[in-house]
Amino acid sequence: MTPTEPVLDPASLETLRALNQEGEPDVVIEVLQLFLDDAPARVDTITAAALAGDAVTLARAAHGLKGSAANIGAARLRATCRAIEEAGREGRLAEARTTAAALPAEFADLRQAIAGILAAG
Amino acid sequence: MPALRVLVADDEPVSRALVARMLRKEGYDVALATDGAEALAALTAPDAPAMAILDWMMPGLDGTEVLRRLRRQPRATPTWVVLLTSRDTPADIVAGLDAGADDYVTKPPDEAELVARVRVGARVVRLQQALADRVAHLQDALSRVKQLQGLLPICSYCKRIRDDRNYWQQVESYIAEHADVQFSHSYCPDCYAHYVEPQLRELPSHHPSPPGGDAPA
Repeated sequence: MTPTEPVLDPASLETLRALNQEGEPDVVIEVLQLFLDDAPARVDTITAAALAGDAVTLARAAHGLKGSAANIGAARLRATCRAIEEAGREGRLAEARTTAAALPAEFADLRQAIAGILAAG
Repeated sequence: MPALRVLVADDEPVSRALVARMLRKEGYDVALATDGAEALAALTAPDAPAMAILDWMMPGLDGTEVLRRLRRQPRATPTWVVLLTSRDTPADIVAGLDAGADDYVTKPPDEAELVARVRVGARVVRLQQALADRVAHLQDALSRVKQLQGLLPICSYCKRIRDDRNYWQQVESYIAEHADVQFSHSYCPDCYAHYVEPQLRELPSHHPSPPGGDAPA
């Protein structure tokens, strides 16, 4: 996890924008909205699994959120999720718990960045 | 040529939407599944899509399990399956291909790569469909050839043939029904001398024509 990773990578959003087609809703807005609908439950699952010491659920949920984050260019969240997933899979629960504790704040930052893009339309 | 149908199966909505967009942009007819069980049901239905992009990590049935169950069912044209996965070690790739995947793409998918790999699948699917059509056509032809083999009961006097419904048919209608043959009626020199010439002689003004010409309709 490196703090220099962007919250939301503009280049990734540009790549997404290239998928836009006549007659279909804007792909960036669609995908960011899907992310906002889906991600909070995954963040909650990770947080709960970290507290409960459930390494399997932790790694699986972190893996899923990592994939979502990668798809929208949420580089920082992706890096955090990767760290949680690896720690969970290797049974380093204390480390996973520490990293997972930072997740809600990081997600809040990301949500704000997404809200800015959605508001700009 | 109708658009090929491709199933996109992924429990993660962002990834599912993106892959669907990539394929729709290329003109594919995209169907969606949100988990492995739904994917397996869609791929084993009578009108199953010819191709599938399967996420490996899905709750319940994961992508490799869907593949194993799908591959147990023999089909004339096997589904072309691309496994979508963030597992990219050689051991993972081998495990995915051994489970029955035809190809794999790593997550997050690069549009150009995914589309190119799906295009490879589309080529194979079209080829398989063309071969299956050809085989069906040949089987049909073969079954008609077989109908003409064996013993044909023929009447010793009138030369009619008895078909399998116990009906006596003229030779030409029997053959026409069982083979891609049409008869054009004519007469041989012997029959011309025996049947046609006497009739012509009885006509008031008779202009004999040589044998071999088509009979009047």
